Formats: sequence, structure tokens, C-alpha cells
Amino acid sequence: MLLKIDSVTKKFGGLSAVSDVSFELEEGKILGLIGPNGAGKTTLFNCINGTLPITEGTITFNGEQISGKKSYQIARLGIARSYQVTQPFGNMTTLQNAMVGAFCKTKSYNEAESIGLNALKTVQLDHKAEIVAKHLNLGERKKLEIAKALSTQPKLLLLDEVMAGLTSTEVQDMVKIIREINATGITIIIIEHIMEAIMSLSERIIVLNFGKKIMEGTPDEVSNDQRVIEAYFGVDEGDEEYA
Amino acid sequence: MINKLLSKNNSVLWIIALASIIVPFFLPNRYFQDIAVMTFLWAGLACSWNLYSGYCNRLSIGHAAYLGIGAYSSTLLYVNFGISPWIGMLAGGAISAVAALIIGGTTLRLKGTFFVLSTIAFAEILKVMTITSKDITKGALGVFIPYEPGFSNMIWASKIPYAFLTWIYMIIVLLICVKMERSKLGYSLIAVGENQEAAENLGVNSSRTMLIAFVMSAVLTSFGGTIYAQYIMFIEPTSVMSLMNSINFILLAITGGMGTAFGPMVGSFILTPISNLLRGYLSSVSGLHTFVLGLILIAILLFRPDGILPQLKLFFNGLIKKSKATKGV
Ligand SMILES: Nc1ncnc2c1ncn2[C@@H]1O[C@H](COP(=O)(O)OP(=O)(O)OP(=O)(O)O)[C@@H](O)[C@H]1O
Ligand SMILES: [Mg+2]
Repeated sequence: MLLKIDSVTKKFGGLSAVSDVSFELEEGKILGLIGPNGAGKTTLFNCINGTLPITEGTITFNGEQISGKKSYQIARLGIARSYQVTQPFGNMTTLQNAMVGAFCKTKSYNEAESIGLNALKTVQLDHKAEIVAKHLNLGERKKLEIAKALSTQPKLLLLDEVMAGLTSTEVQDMVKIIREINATGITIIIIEHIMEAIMSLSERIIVLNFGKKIMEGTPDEVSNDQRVIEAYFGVDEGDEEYA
Repeated sequence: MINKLLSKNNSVLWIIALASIIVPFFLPNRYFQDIAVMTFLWAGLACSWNLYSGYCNRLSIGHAAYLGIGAYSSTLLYVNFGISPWIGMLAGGAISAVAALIIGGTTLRLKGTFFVLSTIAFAEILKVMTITSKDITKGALGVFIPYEPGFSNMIWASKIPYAFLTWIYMIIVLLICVKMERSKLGYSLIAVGENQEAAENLGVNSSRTMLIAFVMSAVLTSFGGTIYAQYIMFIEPTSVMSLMNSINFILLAITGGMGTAFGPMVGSFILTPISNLLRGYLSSVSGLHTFVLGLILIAILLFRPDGILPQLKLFFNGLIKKSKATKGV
């Protein structure tokens, strides 16, 4: 197992944004993570990569316990994430953005440059290498998020809604890119609201609702599950909420 | 904001920096040579300040503290024990490094205004301590350095050797900054300045990165402090460690362009002569030169908020293109 999430809970004051979630992930797979707005998906990413300290539970990566470690340490161990709300280093060029991550594994400037450039090629952004990041459009920013994460040469990649706001051709593009990344041996967890895309990409899917894992299965199993349909289309108000 | 790290083509700026050493030889008298020395010195100091604050986007308004540590360390060692200021300069650097480690270790994690205030507080506390520790520092009276010219004393009769010394200081600081811009440290530092959390997510240890740069900045400033003391040959706490000095670092860097290796140098090349000449020519009305200087600064900030360097680069790039075109390249 590459990643083991064991009864992880994250509380913000009284609110359990992630509540007693457990799952395992094998190397080389793509795992989908879905759920309605506010279900705790992004928060779960923040817990895995150490941006937020978890309240309870343990997270094991590659046989090593990572819960409690700082995010830069976890990045160096091989977990990279993209932000749902893109966070480019606005005054640096696209290539320089990617190079920041590349320095995670090398001290050499030239090596970092070629790692960064490779990451940009993977997401088809190399033609914008010298553009200052604040001038990129949304689609390009989403790609840059992935390139930055890739340049740290991760084993596990956490993608948070990298297709949101893209046109349908751009979405198809992105699906292709994600497949290519996975084909190089990088394990992926992907959060996405675009069902078509996530259903076609993921081998297994986990559904979160109000911080709880309500379902795990193949795309087919998930899309036919009554609990999932209820979570998305709603049952009687408040029934589930404080259960 | 300027496009940081974009100083890929620095050749014209290097030529300006290297060629500037001939200027003092053409100046008619000691008055103008003095302005040249101060221009080089402040260029080096502002570049040192910029190494942390400019690249990392975090204002230190207390760098006069490290200027003071450099000045007092070498001066007290020289005056009391006859130790050469060259060695005193290294001693001052070491003391500044320790001070910056302690101050930085506790305050760099502070966000925004709190960090800025803590840097001012440190400089002010150090100034008061220097005034009150009369037994060691002679307090507010200040310390005179006896005039005994010689290389090992870092004292010369002519202004020219001082011009050389301050110019070399400036060049060394520039070399360090340019080298840093093409290194892991530089990339990490700028990334932290842009977005600390996103940088950490890419494996950047932000506290360590900031601390290293902060210590480097303090040590280089301290070296400048020793040179300053040996040049003026008299130091007193209220002038060396004044808030005015702390602010001058920032003014020069902002005027030229923060977060670029050559920006602060350009700032000093423009502002230090203007400010000195204004003081000379407008001395009839007291305070008038500060007023005019203030107007110039406001104009720069209004019309060139990124500093003058980006504009200068565009200008030079245009010239280079033109000359290539006329040569038919
Ligand atoms: N830093 C925080 N402090 C307090 N509450 C937070 C914080 N981050 C998230 N939350 C809350 O936790 C809950 C889960 O948020 P999260 O962003 O993880 O949802 P999500 O599943 O990613 O939603 P979306 O699909 O809209 O991105 C929400 O109620 C949110 O308001
Ligand atoms: Mg989210």
C-alpha cells in the first residue's frame, strides 16, 4: 500500500470537516474523490499533505507515518498537491514557478531547469515557459498547478478540481494529460465535480458527505448507489446532517 | 510588482556597476569624491538589505542595527585593543550573524506588520543599549577613531582608496545576489515572498530559507557598517543607528527596484548624489533639501511604483535592438 488513511478526523472548532475517514490506496492507481460542496474533500487533501494538522487518526505513506509532519517534509517524501484555487507565484515566470518545486530534489540550477521544463511539457505549457505567471488564463493556471506539483517528482499526486471552469475541449485535454502522468507510474487522487471525467479516469471512487465516507467502489457501483444519489440530490433536509 | 528573477540579461547593468569605479577619478575635488564613496557604500548596503527584504517581500526597518553592530565592533576592537578593522569587520559580521539568528529565529515567523515592528524595536533597543553602556561604548558621546593612515588600519588620506573599498564592497554584494538569484535559496526565498503556504507545499522549508537569507543580509550590512565607521572616523549611536538610516536602505531599494539584484544599486546611484547635492546647494534654508528629496521620492513612487530599474532595462534593450538594426544584424 502506498497510502493508508486510518480513522482520520479533522475538526474546525465544533465542525468535523473530515470525520473518521479510512481508506487505502495501491501504487499506480487513480482514485476519485467526490462529494457535494463542503463535503470535506479539499480538507482531506490538506490533511494528507500536512497543510493542516489532523485532529485524530493516522496517515501512513510508503510505510512511514506522515501525520504530524510539516507539509514541506511530506512534499520531499513524495506527495504533491494542486490547489483548487490556483496559487501561482505571480511575479515569477511559468518555468520559474515549476523550478521552485524541482529544487525539492536537486540543488543544481541546470537540473532544476530541465525538470521544470519537463513538467511544463507534460502539461503542454512549455510554450509559455517565459511568460510571467500572473498573465496566464484559467486553463493555463490549472496546468501550471499540476506542473508545479509534478516538478517535485512525486510518487502521489493530489489533484483538486483541475478541470473546474474549463471548456469541454480543455477538459478532454486534461483527462489525457492525467492519464499520461499516471502512465509514468505516479499514483493519483483526484477531486472532481465533472462526473464524466472522473468516472472515466478513476479505478475506484470514494464519496464524502458531511465529512464522512459514505461509499467506496468502482465508478459503476458508485453511480448506481442510493446513498450517493441522495447525497447529491438531497433527502429530507437535516436528516443526515448531524447524525 | 516587478518580474523578479528576470534579471537574465544583466550585462548592461554589470557594465554600469564595473565602470562606475572610474567616476571618482574624474571628480574635481574631495567634496564630490565623498559623494561617490557614499554612493558606492549605500549601493552595497541597500543591496544587502534587499537580499532578504526585497526578495522575500518582508520589510526590515531595523537594518541600522546591523550597520551599528558592524561599526561599533570593529571600532571598539581597534580603539581599545589595536585590532585591525579588517579583522574587526569579520568579528562584527560574526556578532551580527548571532544577533540575526536570535532575532530572526524569533520574529521571522511573525506576519506582516508585526515583523516590521519587531525589526524597528530591535534597532531602537540596541541604540538605547549603546547609549547607556557608557563604560564600553562611551555612550552618546560617540567614539573617535585616531587618524593613523595605513592599509592595515583601513585609513587613508585620499578619498580614492575609500572609493575603491566601497566599490569592491558593492561588487561583492552584487555578485552574491546574482549568484543567489540562480540558486535553490533564491528561488525558495522569492517563492516564500510570493506565497508561503504554496512554497511549503513544494518542499520549501520556509523558516530555514528566510533565516539563512536574513543572516546573510545582516552580515553583509555589518561589513558595510565597519567600512562606514573607518571612513567617517567617528561614530555615535544616534547617527549610525538612526531610524533615518534604516529608512534609507528601503528608499534606495524601492527607488531602484526591490527584489532585483541591481535595483538598489540603481537607487543609490540616483538618490545618494541627489540627496547630497541638495543638502549642499539648499543649505540656506534648513530642511529644504529633505523637502525636495521627499517630492522626488513621491514622484518616483507615483509614476514608477516598481522602481526605475525595469524602465532602465526597457530603455537599454531598445538601444541594443536599435544598434543591431542599424548594423543590419
Ligand atoms: N480553514 C478552515 N477553517 C474553518 N472551516 C473550514 C476550513 N476549511 C474548510 N472549512 C470548512 O470545512 C468544510 C469542508 O470544506 P472543504 O473545502 O474541504 O469542502 P470541499 O469538499 O472541498 O468543497 P468544494 O467542493 O466546494 O471544494 C466546509 O464546511 C468548510 O467551510
Ligand atoms: Mg474543495
